[in-house]
Amino acid sequence: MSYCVNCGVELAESEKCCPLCQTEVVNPRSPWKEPSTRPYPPRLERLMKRIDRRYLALILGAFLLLPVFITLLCDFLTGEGLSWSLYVLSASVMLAVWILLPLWAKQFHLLSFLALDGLAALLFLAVVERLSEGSWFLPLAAPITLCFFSALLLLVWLCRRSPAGRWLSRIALGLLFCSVFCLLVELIVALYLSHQLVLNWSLFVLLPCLILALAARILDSKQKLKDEILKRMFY
Amino acid sequence: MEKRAEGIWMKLDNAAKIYPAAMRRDWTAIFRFSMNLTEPVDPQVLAEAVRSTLPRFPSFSVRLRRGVFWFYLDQNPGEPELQQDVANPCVRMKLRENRHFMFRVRYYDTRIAVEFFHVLCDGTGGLCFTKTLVAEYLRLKYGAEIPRGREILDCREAPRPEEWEDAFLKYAGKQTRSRQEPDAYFLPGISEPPDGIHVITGMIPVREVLSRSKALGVTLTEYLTAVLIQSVDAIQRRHVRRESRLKPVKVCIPVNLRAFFPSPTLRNFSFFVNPGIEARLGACSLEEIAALVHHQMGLEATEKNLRARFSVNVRSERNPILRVTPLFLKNLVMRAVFYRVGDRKTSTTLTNLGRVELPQEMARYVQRVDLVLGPLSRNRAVSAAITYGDTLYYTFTNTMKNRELEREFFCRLVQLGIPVKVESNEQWSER
Repeated sequence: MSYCVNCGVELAESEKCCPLCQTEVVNPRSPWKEPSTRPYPPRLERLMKRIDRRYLALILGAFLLLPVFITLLCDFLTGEGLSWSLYVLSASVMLAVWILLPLWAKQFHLLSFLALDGLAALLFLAVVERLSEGSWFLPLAAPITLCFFSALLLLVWLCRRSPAGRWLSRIALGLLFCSVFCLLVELIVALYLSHQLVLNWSLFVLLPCLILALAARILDSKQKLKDEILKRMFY
Repeated sequence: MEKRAEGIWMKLDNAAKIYPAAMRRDWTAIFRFSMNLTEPVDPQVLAEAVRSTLPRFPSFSVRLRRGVFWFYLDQNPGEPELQQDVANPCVRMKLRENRHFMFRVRYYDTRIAVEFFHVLCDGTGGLCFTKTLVAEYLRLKYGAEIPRGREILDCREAPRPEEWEDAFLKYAGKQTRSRQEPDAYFLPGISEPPDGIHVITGMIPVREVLSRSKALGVTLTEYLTAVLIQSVDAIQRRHVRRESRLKPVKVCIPVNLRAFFPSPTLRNFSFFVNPGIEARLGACSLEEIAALVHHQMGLEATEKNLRARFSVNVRSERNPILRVTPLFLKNLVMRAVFYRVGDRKTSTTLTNLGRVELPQEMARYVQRVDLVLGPLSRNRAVSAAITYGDTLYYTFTNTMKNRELEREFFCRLVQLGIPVKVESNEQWSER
């Protein structure tokens, strides 16, 4: 008969340590021996923990390869060489970087993946421009894509640095991200179309977003006010 | 094998409707009864006992099927597979792997255990099945002549249709009562993987608990509930510093409706009451909590109140628009409601099946009876109590890495002068 010195409960003969606090119970008069029969058998019923991500990546990869092979085959059979199948090929590469890479990777590095996603998007847009013989990639698509992914990386990095529970600050950051991104998009588009730095519609996004972000930030710093609102919004 | 009722199909009872919609790949609502005998279990005799018991329980030899508008229960002509017990009981039940049966019979050493998916029955129905199965086993193994009656059914008798009636529909009234209540405190802790289930059973002399509950003028369930509420409250106060942020601490207490509305049904016919305390108002003594629980139970667990509350569910079931909504849409809505409401209104659950009475002819072979409640969808620490002989078996099931609630609860009992002996499913030798 042994008792846990920490919890005061008596331990059944099967218990080497107290199951409540994990303290080993040492009784010099009756040292613990593995009983011939335990309350429960040792066999565990195992559940599959989660979907095998690498296996899923392989299946999705196989599906992604199908349209690539078919279009390549069509291209070569019609004797045109690599032409329109490059659209499918580059889109598949982009999807592979966006979806398959995070699934395949052993560790999930969100910032690195986001940076790679940006590069893949740039590559895809460059291929589309080259195939369509346009001239919009460098002045329009590349700056917008770079702006988007840079701002997104900054947002994720800042959100990660903000302490847990400061969800209002995160909302404020998200609003700032939206407003700055809209501003940059309008500037880039205006430069491309009229070679002038003119702001118009983005101001309608910028101002409300800035006001709301400021309000959220102030609200987040006033704990009493937050409590009061939560109390009054109780449902 | 006796011929089983053929062609019988059943609608899911009112309480069971939510479980198929809410079940997940890694979770099903399960509870388990087990009986420890005096000698190791003979699996061949046990399989024979299952075969002779099942025809008497047509509502248990069923499989879950999808209709266009509702799930329904269809006869399952197969035989359930006898399984060896495992260290982690009440792990989700995969119906396909279980030959589509919604219960599984397991054995280990001297123990016979039956795990039930809640779609089939509630505790009363489950206990009746387990008692009858064990009685059949003892008859086949030792030739024990065990008197049969309402709690241990005679397997030679034909099943009665009242035993699979939906008593909710029978007793539902016109008046309903809202179920709205604020969310309760959620016990913190890192979750184990879905197969990581910690079971800790406290063996407590029942007379000790009874004497203390009588001294406070409350029932044994109310007393245990009060100790449990105080334990959860203490945990909350340790984790939440600001008093204004304290949430109510409530415990879900299933109530057997057969005590209010006579019904021989073996299917679900229980409801719940959520007594608790408003922690923001300050820490309460055990006497205060016991009085609060006693009065809340007195107010809530009444025939009229319970009828009004379960009639809300019955009314939803009878709603013509809901009835003609396709099952996949209903499932989406029910799943959303379950995760939004479900077990958010309580911090934990305590189900007390009370004292298990066995005829003398059977009791001489049965050493112990246990009840294990499977983990709930959100509440990861739950408890179940059952009394057999002089011992109250109080079992916690926990899917968190910490054992804070169990420790708090059993230590409190020890501090109150009630001796507790604990055993667990931990595998010490493998550490």
